[in-house]
Amino acid sequence: MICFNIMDQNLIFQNILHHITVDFNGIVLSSNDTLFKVNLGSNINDFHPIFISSIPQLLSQEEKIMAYPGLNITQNSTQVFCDITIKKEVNFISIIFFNFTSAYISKQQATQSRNEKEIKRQLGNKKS
Amino acid sequence: MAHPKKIVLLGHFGVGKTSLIRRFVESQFSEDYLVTVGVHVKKKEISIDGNNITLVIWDIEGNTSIDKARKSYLLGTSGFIYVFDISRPETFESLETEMKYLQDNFENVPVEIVGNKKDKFGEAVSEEFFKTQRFENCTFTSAKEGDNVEDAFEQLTRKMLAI
Ligand SMILES: Nc1nc2c(ncn2[C@@H]2O[C@H](COP(=O)(O)OP(=O)(O)O)[C@@H](O)[C@H]2O)c(=O)[nH]1
Ligand SMILES: [Mg+2]
Repeated sequence: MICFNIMDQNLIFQNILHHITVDFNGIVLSSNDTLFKVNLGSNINDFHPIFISSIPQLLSQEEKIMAYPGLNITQNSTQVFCDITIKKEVNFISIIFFNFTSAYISKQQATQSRNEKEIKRQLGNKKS
Repeated sequence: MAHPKKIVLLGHFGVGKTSLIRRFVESQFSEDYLVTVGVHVKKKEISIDGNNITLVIWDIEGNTSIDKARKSYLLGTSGFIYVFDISRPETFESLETEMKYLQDNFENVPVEIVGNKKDKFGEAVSEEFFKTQRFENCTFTSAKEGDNVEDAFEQLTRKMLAI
């Protein structure tokens, strides 16, 4: 197991972790703006459409926490991949983005060549 | 936001899930294949019989079977579009098992079955092949030419609203 002291943890997560809080209507209450510029008072639905369905879902279910890996976010025409966690607190919602772009891009490259090969094989099989 | 409804596209990789969404939301198509990793989410507002609906469309990475997909992606879904590629038999050979999986795990969530790449009919497979009972509930689309793409989304939306 790898152990970090609090100092190290802060350094490690400083660049990859973005924390936003919103009210139950999706209005942004706070944002540490690590990864994106998100205006206070704006609606989180305008930042990313995933929240249009996820926030009502979170508010209507028992489970207080939801996690989605690999969310694709395009900001100023750059593409980032984040794992996100959405948590219902007593009177607000906490959203955390973990920036894992480079890991997802490596995965994308590996999957790309594997899938292309497999599709080619399938199309070849059928004709023979 | 009027009636947000989450839709998830399912099916093997390379069948045209991303292309169908692109055609539907942006009226565009590209021959290039770029594999989808993780999840892309798009929205589109539509109006059916005077009902305004916001579709929140989830494009997830392709899987050879639905039970390999991340559970969190599928929760809270109002409707599924299951896509296969008419030119690759591997992508529809377990159609029945996949439909059974959805029925067992997402009872009452409507599903639209789509056979995509209909522009390839006549190339390696005939249209006749799909005119059997097995495929009678399928909608055949072409993301490339735009054929039936809106219809597929609209039919699913009607099922979701039960209209
Ligand atoms: N001929 C033809 N090719 C298509 C059609 N739809 C998608 N494609 C191609 O099939 C490949 C895979 O499409 P994509 O949308 O990425 O598939 P996904 O993996 O299911 O998302 C791409 O090269 C597309 O250009 C179609 O309707 N007709
Ligand atoms: Mg795709």
